Amino acid sequence: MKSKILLNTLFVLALSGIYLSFGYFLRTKGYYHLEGYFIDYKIDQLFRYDISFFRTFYFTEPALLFLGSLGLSWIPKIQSTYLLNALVMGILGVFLFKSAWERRSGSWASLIYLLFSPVIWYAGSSGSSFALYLTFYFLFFWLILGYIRSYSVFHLASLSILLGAFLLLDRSFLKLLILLIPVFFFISFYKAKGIHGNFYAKASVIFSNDSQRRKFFTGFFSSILLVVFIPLSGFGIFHLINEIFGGRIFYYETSLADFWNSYSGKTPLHTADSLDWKIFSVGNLYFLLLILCLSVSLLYLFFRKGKSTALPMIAFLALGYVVSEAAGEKILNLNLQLLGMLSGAGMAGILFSAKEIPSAVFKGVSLFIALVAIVLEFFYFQFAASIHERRFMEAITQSEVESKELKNIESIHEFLAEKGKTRILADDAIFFPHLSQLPPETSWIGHFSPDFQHSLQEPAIYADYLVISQDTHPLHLNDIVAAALDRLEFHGIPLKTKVVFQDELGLVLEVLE
Amino acid sequence: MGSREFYRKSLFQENAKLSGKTIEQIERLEKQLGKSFLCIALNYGFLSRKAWKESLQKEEITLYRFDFPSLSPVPKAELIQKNLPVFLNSLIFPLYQDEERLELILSDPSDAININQIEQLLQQKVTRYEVAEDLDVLKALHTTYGLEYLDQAVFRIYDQDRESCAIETFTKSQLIAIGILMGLGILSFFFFPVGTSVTINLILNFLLFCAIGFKFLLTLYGSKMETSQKITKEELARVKDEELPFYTILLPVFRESEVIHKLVWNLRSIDYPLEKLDVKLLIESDDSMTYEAVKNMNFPCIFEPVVVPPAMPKTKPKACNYGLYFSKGKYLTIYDAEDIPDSKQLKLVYSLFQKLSDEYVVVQCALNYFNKKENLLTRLFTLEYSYWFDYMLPGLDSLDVPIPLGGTSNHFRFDRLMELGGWDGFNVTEDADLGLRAYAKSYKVTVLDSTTLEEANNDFFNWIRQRSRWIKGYMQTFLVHMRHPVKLYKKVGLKGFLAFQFFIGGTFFTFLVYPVLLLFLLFILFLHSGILDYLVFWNDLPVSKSLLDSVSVFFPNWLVVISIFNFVIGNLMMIYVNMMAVFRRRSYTLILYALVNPLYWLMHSISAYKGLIQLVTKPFYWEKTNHGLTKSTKSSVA
Repeated sequence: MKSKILLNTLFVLALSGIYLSFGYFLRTKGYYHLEGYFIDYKIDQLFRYDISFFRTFYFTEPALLFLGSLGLSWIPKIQSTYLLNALVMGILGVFLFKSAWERRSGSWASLIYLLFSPVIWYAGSSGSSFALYLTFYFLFFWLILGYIRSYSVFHLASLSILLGAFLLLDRSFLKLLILLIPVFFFISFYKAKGIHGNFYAKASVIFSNDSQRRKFFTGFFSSILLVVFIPLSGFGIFHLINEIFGGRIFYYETSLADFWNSYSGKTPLHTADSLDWKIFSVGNLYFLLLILCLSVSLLYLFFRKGKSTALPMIAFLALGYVVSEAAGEKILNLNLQLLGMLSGAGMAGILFSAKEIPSAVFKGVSLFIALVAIVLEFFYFQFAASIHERRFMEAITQSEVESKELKNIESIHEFLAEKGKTRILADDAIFFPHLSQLPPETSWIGHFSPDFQHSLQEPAIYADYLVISQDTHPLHLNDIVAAALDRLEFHGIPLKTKVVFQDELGLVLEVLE
Repeated sequence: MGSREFYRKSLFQENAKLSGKTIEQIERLEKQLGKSFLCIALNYGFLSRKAWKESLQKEEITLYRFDFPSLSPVPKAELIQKNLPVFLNSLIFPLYQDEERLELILSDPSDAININQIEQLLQQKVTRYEVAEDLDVLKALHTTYGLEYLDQAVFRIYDQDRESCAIETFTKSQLIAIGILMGLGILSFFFFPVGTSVTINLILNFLLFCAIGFKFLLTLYGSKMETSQKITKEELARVKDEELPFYTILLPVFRESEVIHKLVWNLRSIDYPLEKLDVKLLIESDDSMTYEAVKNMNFPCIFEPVVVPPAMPKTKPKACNYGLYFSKGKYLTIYDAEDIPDSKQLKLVYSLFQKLSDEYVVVQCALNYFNKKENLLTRLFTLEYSYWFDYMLPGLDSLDVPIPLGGTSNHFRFDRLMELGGWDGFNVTEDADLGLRAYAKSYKVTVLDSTTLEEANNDFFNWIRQRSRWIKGYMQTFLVHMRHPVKLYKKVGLKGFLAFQFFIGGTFFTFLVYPVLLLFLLFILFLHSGILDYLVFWNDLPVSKSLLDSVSVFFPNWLVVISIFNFVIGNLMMIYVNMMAVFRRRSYTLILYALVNPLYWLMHSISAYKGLIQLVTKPFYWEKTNHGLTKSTKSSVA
């Protein structure tokens, strides 16, 4: 037993090491993710000011990434989100491969998918929260399938805990409860005791018998209640915390600088190239062909002989959910998170069905699905709306990615770090990547500093250096410090400064008096 | 009585209306079991006591009335004590003996074989005999010649291993440790009042969270095993009656006249060869209520009464220990009088024991209630029992940590039980204690998915009585096993030690702390609400504010937030655990009642404080739970 645990741990560490190394390799080629910087900045923020502790602790989003990274932030030199991603995907990868290996028939598909899927590699090495999304979706479908097979309360409770915990990642996961309603409804027919026959026979007996009908509906609603209890309680507690620390129940709706893209609306730093997107959304022949292949394979799985209806049911529901989400707004909603959902559902489904489908046929079909999915994922990353996702693919396929943002971050960070004990004023909702991981002797004033408002009026008293954005910076109009300087200038209040650093996106001013 | 002769035919066939076939059957069992004909007829479901009494009266036999207090042992008492089972099986009591005379009181005047056996044993001819009811003869035998066994029943654990006996509630070292802790607390409070109150509050909150969190995780872990069956239908079907061993069932009763009739029917439904059942009804000698009820039963029953001689403490474990000396099963179980065990339970346990290694000495079956829907209390009780037995104990089982046994439906390997010394007569939750003692001796306890239905307490005060005993027992058990914490740690390992702390210690700790935290939080909320300012209308200054400021010196806002958070999370966890409980038994209609669990916890807290007071004032006092209050029947289970 102990040797088994040790072996598994070694595999996890080895796989995590690979993901971590790959992430750093991509960084050397110009890849970066703002989410990782943001979490580091928040960890730094946590103990910087007394008043910022509770606020940072309770309101940083995504909280799960923050809390996970916080636990790993003691390791120097490595960005904690990268470490967390690598570990999470290491555990998930080893679990997937081990399960597939034990079930035999799905092992090749799983291995190839794990090795070549850009979704998996992105999750393991991007430094974003996607690894947690992927893990959530995998576990979510794994537990649903487990419940469909065993009707066990363990799966229901685990689903509830999973949803409750991952609300800290994304509150929109509550919507997934809707997905569960049809699952519970149909499963309640199979759970009925003492009634034999097929689905229709059971349904007819249940609905024609008072006692059975009562049991059916109480069972159905109880299942729902058990699953929604923890997420809804968690949601309620979250609102309570908002009331206590933010002063309003819906404080989180309006608070700024609690999530990494709070300044730029829902599509932060997206450079949506309408031409690329058109190719992706309208589709071309190759793309449609691949979709067709995938659909045929799935259809085979739906109508194959066998007693379990679990996989097709879940696949239908997941696809239906994605279609309904995407129907709302393609560019915004057809995103990597939804791709992660399909990926998680697929991995869970293949592992679960491996036992029930004739081995040779299943091997072929699952391998085919995995290959098609990988190709489609490559398409996705190539044409993705999010610049981070496209940059990831570019960093893989190109020798170097031209990234003025990364250069800007690194240059300013390097410049400030060299200054040693100094005071900096900056709009940290924009410059958090530059400020994160500064040496402890460097102090900076940002949104959560008690002196922020004062320092905007009298920068000379509070700061040695000012960091502001250039006019060309996409968030220049949001830059409060830049706006404050403009205001001072407009009112004729003198402030002697000297530009000590500048590049295409930002500049550092030294305050001279 | 003179030299008048009685015949089996007239007494049993003509008067008691037993058929020839039945008599043949009884005679077959008589040979097989080595018991008297009457003993078999009365205790194996052939003849009711009332019918037998009437049969004797038809023969114009005047039944002998014992003057129990004046009974004294005959000169050959030692011989009788040594052969007490023979006398019990023969239903013969030697009333008087000297060199010339031997007077017996017997129950069956037609039983020449057993009379001869006694004559041979005592090496003396009977000069005179009287006839008495079997129960009176048994009582006379037990109270006169069973004292040696009684002494063993009370003091065996104490004699074997003084450190494991709850006869001493607090040891000297424990009292010193408690004193030092309290002294340190007072001193710290004197010198560092704020720091001390904050630390104490934090510790209480932390422990409360750990104890509840442990139960939550345990329930979740146990639910994993929900669908697993330890004994499959096929395995059960393979069990043959011929291979089954003797199985003892102990039925300790005290003032249970209400349920004694139900008990008979419940026992009849057990699927186990009758001749291999050894059912002992343990009646306290001063329990005239049950005694008379058994005497006057007008239908045949399948138990053998054992009258436990009077002795302190008057507890169930003492009665059970006494019953052990008259048991002959390879396996032994205990049921309460109102229990309705799963009919296949004994066979299932037998099959499980066959599968398990010898280190497994106890199998605990699940308990649940047949009157779950009677009122709010029974509903909440059902929820509690469901998660306890269906999820939490299986969770402990799969973690391989000590399992505190439930009050009934625990099945033992008899020889191992005797090796462990039976139950501690001074512990009021002797079952939980025994589970821990077994584990400490490297034996294992496991659980089985076979259910015994009990009667849920439907009365508030009755419930408080019962629960205060249970919680007091947990305190006793905790104190006994924590006399030497290092020794305990070495015996049960880290996992077992932590499980013991959280499961046994955590249980009463949470109930004791719960109302303290609740009152504290309510007080803070009350001050925040500003109601006090309205109440103190004669004062213009805001009283709440100044009070809050004073309180916040000792309990800063962050601590209040943590306490509220902890309290809310703890309650939600327990509500959730209760919600989970309905699934295994499909009692879905109870799910919403889980929301009332915080109130149920308050009831626990009342009981916990009652138990704590009793622990100091009367530690061995057995708070009697009244049974038979329900109007529900087994049919209402569904």
